[in-house]
Amino acid sequence: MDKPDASQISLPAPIRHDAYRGYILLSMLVFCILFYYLGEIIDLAGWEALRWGFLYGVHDVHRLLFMAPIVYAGYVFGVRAAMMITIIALMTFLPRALFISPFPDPLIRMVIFTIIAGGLGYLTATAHQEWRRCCQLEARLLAEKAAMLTMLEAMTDGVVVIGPDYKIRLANPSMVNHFGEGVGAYCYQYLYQRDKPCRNCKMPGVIAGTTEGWQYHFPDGRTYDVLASPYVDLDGTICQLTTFRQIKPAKS
Amino acid sequence: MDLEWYLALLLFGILHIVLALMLLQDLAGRNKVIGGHKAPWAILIIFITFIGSLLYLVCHPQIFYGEE
Repeated sequence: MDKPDASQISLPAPIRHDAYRGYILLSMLVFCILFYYLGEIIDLAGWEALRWGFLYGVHDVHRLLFMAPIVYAGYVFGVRAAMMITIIALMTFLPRALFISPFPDPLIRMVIFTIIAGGLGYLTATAHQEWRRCCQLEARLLAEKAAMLTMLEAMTDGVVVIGPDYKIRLANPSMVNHFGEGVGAYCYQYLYQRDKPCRNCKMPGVIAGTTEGWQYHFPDGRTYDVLASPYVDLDGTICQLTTFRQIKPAKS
Repeated sequence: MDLEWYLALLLFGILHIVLALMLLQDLAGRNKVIGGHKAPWAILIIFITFIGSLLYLVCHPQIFYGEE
């Protein structure tokens, strides 16, 4: 069976918000608008039992409710939605400021509130977008690492990643077969059974950017071609990526 | 009318234009609208200030998903 061409593989459709989130936002907005003019609605409908003083006072507290749809729009949908809801909120405040409010400076107070709410919505949207971008980048990095590990597992050559502190960060299965489990151990202990780094250690040169090659002879007769080159690990640390190719087996 | 009135009207006008432009841009790029025709929605958004825009948003909440 032929392998599928990469261009023929269809990627899954990007995840979209469920429609209910749009309706949640609009429901919040409509609720805020109705609550903002509830006093007038009660007057119009003649609902005497609901004629509370709170609904006829300064509407600074009532306006605070609009913070919820503005911040929600910014968090879920982004900057444009937050700006749209802020504009609608401002248009909602205007009739009260112009025609209804008997309190001083109604226009200034609602403009100041709207600027603050809009700013918060914008900041929420920006911060959330940045956070989502970071999550996507992290997921991509992890996927790349997983792909690299899969490749390393399939290699017949031994591969080992050594950090600048001489500690082994990664060893592929072939390396484990040849030398045993060694992740977390010091390279000079793992490979040479020494207590301190080798005198002619190539690590400083490799970390500085050069590629080094040498042969490694074991007392049992095994000989390896060793190639060391710099490698930047996921955390940004420059490490030494070393491959071991066996060119001579152990004496029987 | 005093200066505060003029300023308020100017502010209202600017807000209406900004909101209407956002919604009209969405309307122009939309393949399907409720009712099947775009022209009535455009008239509603432009001439029925605030209520028309709000009605369009309620009927087409997909406008927010564009940023994804």
